[in-house]
Amino acid sequence: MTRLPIVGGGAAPPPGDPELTRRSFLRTGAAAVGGMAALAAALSPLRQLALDELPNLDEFLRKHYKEMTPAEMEATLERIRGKVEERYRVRPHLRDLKAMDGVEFGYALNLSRCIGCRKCVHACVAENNQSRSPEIQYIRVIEMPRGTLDVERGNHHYDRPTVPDASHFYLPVQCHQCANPPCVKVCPVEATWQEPDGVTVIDYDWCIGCRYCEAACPYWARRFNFTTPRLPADQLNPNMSYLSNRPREKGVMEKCHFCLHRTREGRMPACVEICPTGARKFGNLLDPHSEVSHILRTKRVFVLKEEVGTQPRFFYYFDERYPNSLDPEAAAIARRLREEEGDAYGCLPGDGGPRRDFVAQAEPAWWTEDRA
Amino acid sequence: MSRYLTFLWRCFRLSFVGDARYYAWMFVLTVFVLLGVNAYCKQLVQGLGTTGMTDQVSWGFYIANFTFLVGMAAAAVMLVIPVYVYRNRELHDLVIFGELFAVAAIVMAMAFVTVDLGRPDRFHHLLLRFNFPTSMLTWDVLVLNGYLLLNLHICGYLIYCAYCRRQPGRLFYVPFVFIAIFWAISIHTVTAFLYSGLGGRPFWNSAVVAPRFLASAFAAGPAFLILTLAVLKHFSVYRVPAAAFLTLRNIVTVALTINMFLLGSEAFTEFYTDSAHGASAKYLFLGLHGHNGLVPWIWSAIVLNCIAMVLLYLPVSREPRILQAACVLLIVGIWIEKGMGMIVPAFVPTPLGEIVEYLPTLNESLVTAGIWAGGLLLYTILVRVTIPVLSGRLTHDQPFDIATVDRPATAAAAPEH
Amino acid sequence: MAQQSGRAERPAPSGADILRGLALPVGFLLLAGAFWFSPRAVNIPTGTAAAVDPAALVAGPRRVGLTDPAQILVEGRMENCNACHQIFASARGGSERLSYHTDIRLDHGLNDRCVNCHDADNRELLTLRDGATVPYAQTPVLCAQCHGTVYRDWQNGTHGKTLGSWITGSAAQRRLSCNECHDPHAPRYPAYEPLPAPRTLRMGEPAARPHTDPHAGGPLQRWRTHPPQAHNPEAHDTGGTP
Repeated sequence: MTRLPIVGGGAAPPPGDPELTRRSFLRTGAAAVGGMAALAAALSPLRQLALDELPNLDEFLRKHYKEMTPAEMEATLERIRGKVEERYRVRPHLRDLKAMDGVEFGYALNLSRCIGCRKCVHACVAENNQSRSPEIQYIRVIEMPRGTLDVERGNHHYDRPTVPDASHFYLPVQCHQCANPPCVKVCPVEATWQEPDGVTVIDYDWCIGCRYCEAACPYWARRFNFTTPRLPADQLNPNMSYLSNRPREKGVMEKCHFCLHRTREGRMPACVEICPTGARKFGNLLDPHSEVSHILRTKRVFVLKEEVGTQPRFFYYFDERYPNSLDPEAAAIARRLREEEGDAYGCLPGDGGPRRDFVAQAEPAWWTEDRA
Repeated sequence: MSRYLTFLWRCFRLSFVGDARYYAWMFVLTVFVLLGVNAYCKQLVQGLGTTGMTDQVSWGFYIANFTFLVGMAAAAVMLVIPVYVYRNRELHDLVIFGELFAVAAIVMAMAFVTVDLGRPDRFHHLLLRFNFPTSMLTWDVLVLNGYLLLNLHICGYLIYCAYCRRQPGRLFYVPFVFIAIFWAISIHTVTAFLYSGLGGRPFWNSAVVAPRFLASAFAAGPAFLILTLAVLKHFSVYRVPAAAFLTLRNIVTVALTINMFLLGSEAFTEFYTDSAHGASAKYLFLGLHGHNGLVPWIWSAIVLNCIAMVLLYLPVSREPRILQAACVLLIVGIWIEKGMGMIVPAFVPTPLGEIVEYLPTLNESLVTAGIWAGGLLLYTILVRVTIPVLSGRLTHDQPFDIATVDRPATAAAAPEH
Repeated sequence: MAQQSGRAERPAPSGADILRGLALPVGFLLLAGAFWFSPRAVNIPTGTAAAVDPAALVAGPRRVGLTDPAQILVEGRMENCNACHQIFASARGGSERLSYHTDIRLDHGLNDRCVNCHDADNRELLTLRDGATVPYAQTPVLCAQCHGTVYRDWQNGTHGKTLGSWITGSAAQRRLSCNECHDPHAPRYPAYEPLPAPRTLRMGEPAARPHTDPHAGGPLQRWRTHPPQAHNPEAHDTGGTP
């Protein structure tokens, strides 16, 4: 029979033999000390953890947003104000704005008017204290070729000298605050939920960062802080609300919240306010006189990925032909027909005479020249 | 109670008893565990940006390994069914090795989920606000923890009874064993439902995900058990009957065949239909718009699985070496196909059509290796402890030193089940 | 190795024994050293968001339209229109080349006569089709004559820009007038230089243009590769209408 030696070789000691027991004890001890040293060295990067990153007892024991009393909320807000002031040297105007009664927010976007300037993207970033490094943007504008809504054909990284390009239209996408949100369905800790005014909110202090909601969103609307968000102090927007644009920390989700620190006080979201062409419309779906209600009644609205069943509160529509009414290929066809048919172009047989047709005018619009 | 504590203490001591090869193995595993700890500390400090994940591909290597390991854990039940349902006494002891493996695999899977969390310090929020039954993640938390407890109980009870040289009471483990059969199916079904319930990810939104998961798990898990038993046979005097290998081989063959069939079914549906639904499948198998990072991986996995399947059908795979080679091939193939080949393509292209590819970083790979090493370390210790108990050398009425001697089991020592 | 019985002579440790005994501690200490001296932080390529001129993000009307009393800059001073137009005889037909106001670019489609909009007798008023006049403050009424559908949409807020508040009828709500966005002489909306494209974490290098034709496989592809011919059946290859 073979004997399995103990610790590092050598014969197994007879029971009670002190000399060899001491030797084996030394060997064991040395190995254990070496192991502990290696473990301590392995853990050494933890020294870089900033002290304010470690949750204090209040934060650790805090309750869910929906269970907090007003006093607890005020204490939480005070703690956050202190943290923001310490980090950015600015005392923020932070409050917990509640939803207004009788309000359900809706959004409408006129795809005939969007020119793809991306002012909405950057106005949102300036308003909502996103990380600049790495860059986080809630709105993504997609340059789409005419005739399709398949976003796979779109281009997120267009970089033309001027926009709009005549043979494309522009499709901005952000969180649609769906009425049947898959992100709310999958969150294991209820860190994200729908508020009474329709906005899907995130409590950044409750999120555990599992990113299930990010996988579930069909519109790629949710963002995660993969590192500590970096924001220059001079670009901090001090007008904050607990559920919207207060500075986030690493490891939590964030997304568009319809600027509820503005909209719950009656103001417009930053993206609506900045849009130069008035393509973006925002308002109360429960008010029949609001702009969005008019649009839903009178325009041919649709939603993206309706088949997924999310019931978005974000409606798209086309009305006028602009900006692609002078699609160069369309203009070329019309011009050629005009040349071939002459005065008979555009006329029905037996008609009185030629009609003027602006599409067939000799010069294409001055911005359709390809300046690539 | 004191006997139980003594038992635990003796197990602890016994895990440090071994020859030079054992020490070399354990040292290498410990080194990788420490590398993983170090890498995870860096991840704790800097955030998940140390991994290759992005907003576009927000689940990657960690969740891929998690998925694979949940499947491996579920496969322990593949030994339970022939033994308890079909009353195959010869394989009885091997059930414990399978369930110990399930314990190690579940611990690894839970470790992978934990390292994937952005805020692991908020784990307790799961206890305070639990979105059950709406969120499938909550189901997963429940079934995984339940399965761990179930297997810990069954193994712990049987091993402790063997240590105490007493007959285990059938009421204390047989019902649990049968529950474990169904529970094992459920852990992997729930994990599959995590993915298949998302309408925004067409690659996952398919009914075939759950059956595919189960089939691949029941191929890879028993294959791993075959390798474990081969190691045991080689390095210890524990008797492993040839029937064990053959039974497991049959299970693996059938499961692998079903897995390949389901893969073919998936491929047909995506590619024959040729709709936008198949964009992710196109990215995985053929490349999309010039991006083809995963193409060599999935085809390697398919080739490995096919070779393994052919080998398994040939009678030559009754030879231990061939069988072990086939098992290694198919474990690697299924790890690729079910891990990166299942998780990452669902994120490419994004729901808005953008293509950003994913590659794990070194830090991410070190954490992964650390968790794998930790799991193997745990399993080695569990097996190292179990063999002397089951062969009657580590019992409450014998001195500890006898357990350190390597000799075959005596008739009186092994209790009858 | 034979089993020792009782307190027999203790074997002195051999060199191999010592080495084996030291292997573990030395290995661990080497590892500890490697951890201690390796870089503390992983390099994460965060990048930085492109800087955007804050002036580009100021919300407000794109242009300042003329309002009452209508005034323009004449040699450094703001002057009423009639200060000149009541003295000098100015174009009445509407199609003559202008000797003043040469900075105005007229590109309004069919509307190519100045006096279509400007009252021929009183340049401080705008004229409607029926001869009635309106002040500059009521410019939308003038535009509405031809752009009735747009005017209808503008009235209920679906066309044009609203600033300040979404609450209907709120004092903070401000609707922009037609000429606060559109230059009445060349009303087509100008092109903008787009603000920077996204540069998110680890997104890789995007193609400057999509390397495949975005229309490929799309609904309009056929129309682009086989544009419709004139109404000449013999010209069609397939014999069918596109």
